[in-house]
Parts: sequence; C-alpha cells; structure tokens
Amino acid sequence: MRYRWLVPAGLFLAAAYLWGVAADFQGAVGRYELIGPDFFPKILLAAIMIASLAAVARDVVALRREPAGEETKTFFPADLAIAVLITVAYVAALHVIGFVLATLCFQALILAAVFRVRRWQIVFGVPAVLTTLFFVIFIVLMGVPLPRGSGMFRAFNSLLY
Amino acid sequence: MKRFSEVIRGISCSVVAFLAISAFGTASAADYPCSSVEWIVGWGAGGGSDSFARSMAPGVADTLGVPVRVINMPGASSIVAQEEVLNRPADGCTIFSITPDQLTNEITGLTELSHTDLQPIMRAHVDIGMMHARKGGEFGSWDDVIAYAKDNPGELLVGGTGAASFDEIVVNIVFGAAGVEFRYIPYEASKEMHADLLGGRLHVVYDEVSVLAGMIEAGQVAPLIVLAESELEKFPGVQAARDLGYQVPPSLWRGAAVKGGTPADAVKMLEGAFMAAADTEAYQTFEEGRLLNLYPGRLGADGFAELLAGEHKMYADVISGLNAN
Amino acid sequence: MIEGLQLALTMDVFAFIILGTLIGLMLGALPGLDATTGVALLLPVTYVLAPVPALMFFVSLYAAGVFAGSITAILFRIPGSSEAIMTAVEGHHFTARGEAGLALGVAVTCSAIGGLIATVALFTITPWLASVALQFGPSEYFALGVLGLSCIAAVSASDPLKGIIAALIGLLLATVGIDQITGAKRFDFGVSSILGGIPFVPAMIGLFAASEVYRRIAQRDHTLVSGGGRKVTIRSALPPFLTLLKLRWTVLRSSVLGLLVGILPGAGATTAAILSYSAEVRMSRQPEAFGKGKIEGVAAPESANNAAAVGAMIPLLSLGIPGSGTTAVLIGAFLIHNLQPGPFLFIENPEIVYALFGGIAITNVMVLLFSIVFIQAFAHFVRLPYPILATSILSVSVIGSLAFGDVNSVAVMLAFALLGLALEAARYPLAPVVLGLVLGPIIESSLRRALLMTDFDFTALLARPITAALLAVALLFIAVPAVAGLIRWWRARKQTP
Repeated sequence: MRYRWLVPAGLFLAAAYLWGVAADFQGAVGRYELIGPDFFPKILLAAIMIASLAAVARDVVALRREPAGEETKTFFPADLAIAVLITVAYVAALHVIGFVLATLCFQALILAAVFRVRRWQIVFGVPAVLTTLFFVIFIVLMGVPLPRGSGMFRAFNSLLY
Repeated sequence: MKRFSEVIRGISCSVVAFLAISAFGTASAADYPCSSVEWIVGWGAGGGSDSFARSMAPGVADTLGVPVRVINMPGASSIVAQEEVLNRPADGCTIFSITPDQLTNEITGLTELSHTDLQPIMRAHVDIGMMHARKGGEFGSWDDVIAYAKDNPGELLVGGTGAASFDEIVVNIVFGAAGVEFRYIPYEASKEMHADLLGGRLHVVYDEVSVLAGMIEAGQVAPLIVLAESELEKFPGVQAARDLGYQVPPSLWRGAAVKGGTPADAVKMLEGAFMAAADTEAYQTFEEGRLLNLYPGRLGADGFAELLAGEHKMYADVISGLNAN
Repeated sequence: MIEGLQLALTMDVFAFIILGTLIGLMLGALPGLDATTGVALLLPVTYVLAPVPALMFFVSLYAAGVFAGSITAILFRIPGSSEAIMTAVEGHHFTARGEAGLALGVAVTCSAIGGLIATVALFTITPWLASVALQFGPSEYFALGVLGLSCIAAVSASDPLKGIIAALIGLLLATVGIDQITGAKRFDFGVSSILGGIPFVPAMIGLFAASEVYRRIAQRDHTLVSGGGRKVTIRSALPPFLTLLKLRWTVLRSSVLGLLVGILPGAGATTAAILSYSAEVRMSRQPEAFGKGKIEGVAAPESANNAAAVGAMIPLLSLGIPGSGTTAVLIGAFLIHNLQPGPFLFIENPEIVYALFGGIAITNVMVLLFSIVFIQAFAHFVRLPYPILATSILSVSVIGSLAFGDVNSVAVMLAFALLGLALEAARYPLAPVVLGLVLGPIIESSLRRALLMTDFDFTALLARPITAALLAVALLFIAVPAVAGLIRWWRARKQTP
C-alpha cells in the first residue's frame, strides 16, 4: 500500500506531542519524586518514536523497491466517512434527544444511508424491533442509566423510564 | 423445591413490580415533587456504597411514596457520577451517594467540582478505621510499631488505598501525631494490600473495620489501634487514638446528598425519609452485618453540612503539608 | 467432604445452579452487562434463601458469565466480557471461514475442562495455592508482567517491529488516568471518565467489534461468512474427539497457568487469558499462524479464563481476600447469610465450602450442556442479512459502552474503533495492543510500588527468588529467538558469499 507509512508517521507525531503533555504531569503529593508520574510514559513515548521512525524508514524503502501496489481490495472512503459521521451524530444526539429516539434514528440512517436499504419496511421496522429489544434488556431489566436527553425530550423520556 | 419457587416468584414479582412502577409511576406521587427518584452511586455494584444505597433505598421509597432506583455509575472515584448529578435539574429527583472522596477529589485537583455544589441530606454511618498488623508477625502491639519506626526512621511501610487519598490523609495524621517517620505505600485495590500484609511485605495497613473484620476474627490480622475517641466494645483491649493522646483523624462515612439549590421543602422531605429509612430493619441488618454501628454516625442535613466544611479544611491542611515535604 | 458434596447434589440446590447458569450465560453474552452486575443486582433477591443455594446460584452465574462472553466474541467479534478478549482476537476468523461451530465447540469444551481442572485443584491443594498467592508481592507482579510482554515478538511473528509498536501503543494507553502511585492526572485532557483509566470493555468493543463493522463498510464487504453464504448451520456444538485430543497439552498448560494467575489477587481471568494465549504462541511451532484463526488460540484463553475464575475462589475462601472483582461482590452474598469468607469458614462450616466446590464442578458441566442450546439460539443471528447485523453490532457497541459510564465511554469506543481500523489497514496486529493495555498497569504500578518498598533499590527486587526466576525466563524468551535469528542470518550469509 502506498500510504502505509502514514500510520507510523502519524504515531511519531502523536508521540512527540504527548511528550510535551507528559512533561507537565504533577503528582497530587510531591513525595515520590525519584520515579515520577512522567517516568514510565516518557520511556514509552521515546520507544514509540524510535520504533515508528524505523517503521517509516522501512515502509519507504519497501515503496521504492516495489512501487506498484499489491493491494487488491477496493476501498470506499465515502461509505466509511458517512458511517462514522452517523455514529458521531448519534453519540452527540444522545444527550439532546435521549436514548430511544437517537437509537431509532441512528439505526434507520445506517440502514438507509450506508447499506442503501430501500425497502421502507426494513428501514423502519428493524430499528423499531432492535430498539425495543435493547430498551427492555438494558433499561427495564438491568436498570442501566441510558441518557434521557434534555428539555422537552427529557420530559418525554421520563414517561418511558 | 419450595425455596426455588420462592425465588422465581421473588424475581418475577420484582420484575412485574418494576414494570408497573415504571409505567404508572405517577399514580402514587402524592406530595413529593417527583414521580420517581434515582439514586446515583459513583461506585461499582456490590461495593460498600452500593450495598449502602440498596439497603437504604426501599425505606426512603416507602416514606416518600415514590420509587427509588439505585443506579451505578462508576468511574474516577465517583467524579463521573457527581458530574451526572450536577448536570441534572436541582429538583430533588436525583440523589447522590457521598463519601470523603468528594472532598479529596476536590482538594487534590482531580475535579473542578466542589462539595459545596451539593446539598447534604444525611450522613448515615461511620466506618471506623484501625491500624492493623499481621497476627503473629513482628508487631504485637502499637508500641512495637512505634519503637521500630524510631529505631529505623523511614523504614516503616504503611499500606493504604489510593495516593493523596482519604487513607493517606488518615495515615499521615496518625503517624504525625505519633511523631515517627514512615513510608506510605499506595494501593489501587485493598485486596492486593491485604495480600502484602499477610505475605509480610508491609508492616502496618490502614483499613476500615468493616473490610477486615473477617480476617481479624480468623486470626490472620491483629488490630493495633482504633482511630476513635474511645475503645470499641467489639474490640476490647485495642487502644483508641484519643487515649494515646493523638488527634483523632476523620472517619470514613457514607451519606446522601442532592444537587445544591434544591428547594428547601424537598430537602426537608428527603431528610425525613432518610432518617426513617435508617431505622428500617433492612438497613439496620446491613449496618450490623458490616459493623457500621460500632460508633454513632447519623447526622441530619445541617450537622452533615457543618461536618463537611470542617473536614474539608482538615484534609486540605494535611494535603498541603504533604506537598510541602 | 462427602456431606458437602451431597449438599451440592440435592434437587433444591441443583435448580439454583441451573438458574444461575442460564442468567450468567445471558448476562455474559451481552457487552456492558457482566456477571458482577448480575450478582450485585440479584443479591437482595436471595435474602430469603438458605446460604448454600444462594451461594451456588451466584457461583454458577459467575462461572457461566465468564464463558458466555466468548460466544459473541467468536460470532461477531464482540467480547461480551473482558475475559473473552483473546477469543475475539482468534475466534472470529473461524466464523468468517464458516467454521464458527468448531470454534464455539472448542471454546465451550475447553472452558469446562479448564474449570474442572481448577476445581480438582480446589479440592486438593487449596491451602498450598493460597500460600503461593501470598508469595506474590509487587516485584513478582512486575516480573509476571514483563514475562507476558516478552512474548510479544512471538505473538507478532510475521513482523516483530509492528508487534512492538502495537504493544507500546497499548502500554501507553494503559498510563491514561490517575497515576496509582502519586495521584497525578495523566493524559486525561480534561475528560473525567478516563481519570480511572481507559474503560477496558468499551475500548475492546471499539477495537474489535465496531472497527470490524467499519472495515466491512469501507470495503463494501457485506457477507459475514465468506465461505458458505447464508446457509450456515452450527450443528456441531461438540468438537470432534480427535481435535480435542490434539489440544490436550494446550488445554492442560493453559488451565494450570490460568489457575495460577487466577489465585493472585492482583491479576484476574482477563490477565490469565492473555498470558496463556501468549504462552501458547510462544510454545507453538507455527507462531505465525496465530491471529489468523488457529484453534489453539481459542483453546488456550478459554481454558485459562475459566480456570482462573475458579482459582479466584481460592484466596477468597482460604484467606478472605477476593481474587477478582466478581468474587469481591460474592463476599456480599456470604455476608448477608452471616458467613464470613476466609479461613474461618473452613473450620466453622466445612460442609458449605465443599458444597461450593461441588457446585462449581457441576456448574462447569451445566455450562457445557446449556451452551449447546444457547449457541444454537445465537447462531440464528449469524444468518441475518449483514446490514441488520451491522446495525445491531454498532448499536450494541454504543449501548454497551454507555452502560460503563457515560457518553465519554462511547467516545473512547469510537476512538478505539478508528485506531483499530487504521492499525488493521496498515497490517498491525491488535493482540499486542491488548497485551500492553492489560499488562501496563501491572508492570508500571507494581514496579514503582516495589521500588517504594525497597527505597529504590532495584537489586533488592532481584534478590527475591520468584521475581528473579520470572525475569530470567522473560530474558530467555527475548534472547533465544533473537540469537537464533542472528545465527540463521549468519549461516545464510556464509552459504551465499
């Protein structure tokens, strides 16, 4: 893959940034200073930087030797982006409209937008069944505190659980 | 098979009751401003705070006339739960389990939230702490510990749970009062600490009576001093910190609070309901079983608020002393 | 002892074992719910019961819960409980190949065997094992963690550099949260939900289950089972006897290792599964076949995690120290019946102890029987069209993470899903990430605690025999393949000048 080196390169940058974060670690009690809270993370970050540089170098050399990509599987970045975006929207919506409505919308959207299901019976029926199932198991039987949303939606969900 | 069917009935009854309550919860709410109350516990199921809430909730529900559901929201010594409670409206429909961790979290800067964001309802009990050594080990008495610490400055290994935690504060107050040097070894979970004590790798550990009672009874662990004003009936012969002339460190307690700014009448009703619940048989059995009744600990809303302010100052002093060292 | 066993075999108690097994299977299979929650929730219900049936109920719930996580792990790559994590790594490849029946059968059989082997140990050498557990202090835990890490090169045989990077990522992620030794906040970025460390189950659901769904979406690969299409039957719940015979040493090794790790209060069934998996890879003649669906990779962690779950009862019953989170909750079950778990129980109520042991043995057999039915039920889901399955898996991933706290746990789950996606796209193995994440706290905190105890004198740690021995084996594990590699390289050079 032509872009394989991007992963270790990104790791290197992330590790360099986190090194700066680790430099500011401060114990709540200043007594165990011989090996402080930053000691172990810094060793790991240094090791990650060295190893990822090695991996970048190796990937780049490999790229020169066989410039033609051997990958066969096709990749649909748009599908992935839509799926991830819908999930992110779902998580964001949980606090606003609550678990029940958010889950219904999320499942319908995934089916319709990502998997291109066109039969409306499935797009609306499956989420209804699944959400009811999760509702019964997690909320009714196990009492898991799934979000109720806020404002008007909170009042609505409080009627349900 | 009789008992089996009883439990089946028990389970199905509670499920049915629960469904009924969730569906028609509004029916029975006569005076209390909420149709149901959620009690959020910031610790996992089965722990001390969880068992406390579950033994208390039925009694509270009976007095209030609305169902009280205990919900576990563990994470970051109950900071996650505290955030959740403070994000909800201040209507008295959400109760929060409060422990000294709220004070230490605030003092050590783990969270921006303060205990003053909460309105105390009641302190239910105290869990008396003791200093323990291994039975049959090198320390037969508290004097042995002090003598060892004086002969070997800084060599005495004292275990406790958490760093910059309630345990560390207590250990510092006690050994500060005794005037000896020691090394505090922080543990994440008390089970590892107990294994290290029994395995002879720690000299002394701090822990609450409720946790170690079984090991004391079984003759594995010996209590050396009890961190209270006077000896306990349950452990005769174990000297009290006060009798040694020490400042008595704060005890671990458990209580309930709601979000600050909750209407006064709701607070009043909750306080009454909690006080009544503390007298129920279910709760009394819980206290007895865990040895939480060795020392009077019940406080109403006002007394509890005063106590919080006082202990906040005491903890803050100890922690700033730790950082100065 | 006989009296106790008879107690375990009465109909009354038996019924509770069955009930506990069924509830345990259900809870264990669902991510976000586990046996610990189940035990805590049902504790009040058992007030009315006699102690023995109540304890049996919980013990069977616990044992069944440990196993059940592997069903969803194998079928959908969702680790239903943290103990099933290595089974998700290895087992899902079987489902993709249309051999889910084999993996499930091996998993359930090995679980039962592991549990039974540990029960035999429970009956015979409990006091000795308890004294072994007490030998383990911080320095020994550190050495054990290092030993686990030394297997990384083997776990990623095809590309050790990538394995090392993956393990380092796991170790680094393990440092997130409040530092156990100083109380410092590390890499929390102001999010309180991760102050207690990265929530493990949401992270694992993201890394394995959600990332797999995203990968299939990105590749428009919408068939769960590539071989047989939709007509997959999972009939062979019990694996062929020959397969089991072939696995005998794997199962025995892993059960013993799992038992030994399980008795340690500072480790647990998850650590046991991970250590036995890596040990198995390390021992294998074809380490490169692991991570692609090798049956030993399912058998080892499954035998180990059940053996460890049973082993966790040993420190509880003989020392009063719980060996795991669930056994800590089990203490509550003892307390409400005025029983104090610990050495006292052996003296005061030996019949209860032996009844418990017998109950554990029966539970393991029950799990075996019921799983066959339970697996059949789950297998129907595999035949659902992938879009519906994917929607369900993503929803369960989110809800299961929510059950562990709040919306931030879901954010962790998503972050790990993307991490898993990126790592797998660049052909980095995921197993070392898990290894690092689980072993990281054991290694770091134990080392620092041990050094605090010795006033930062590292040589004092090496003077402890178990520590020294474990570290020596770890050194051997690292050195031998390295030296062998060097020799091979040198010979190859000599032959082709």
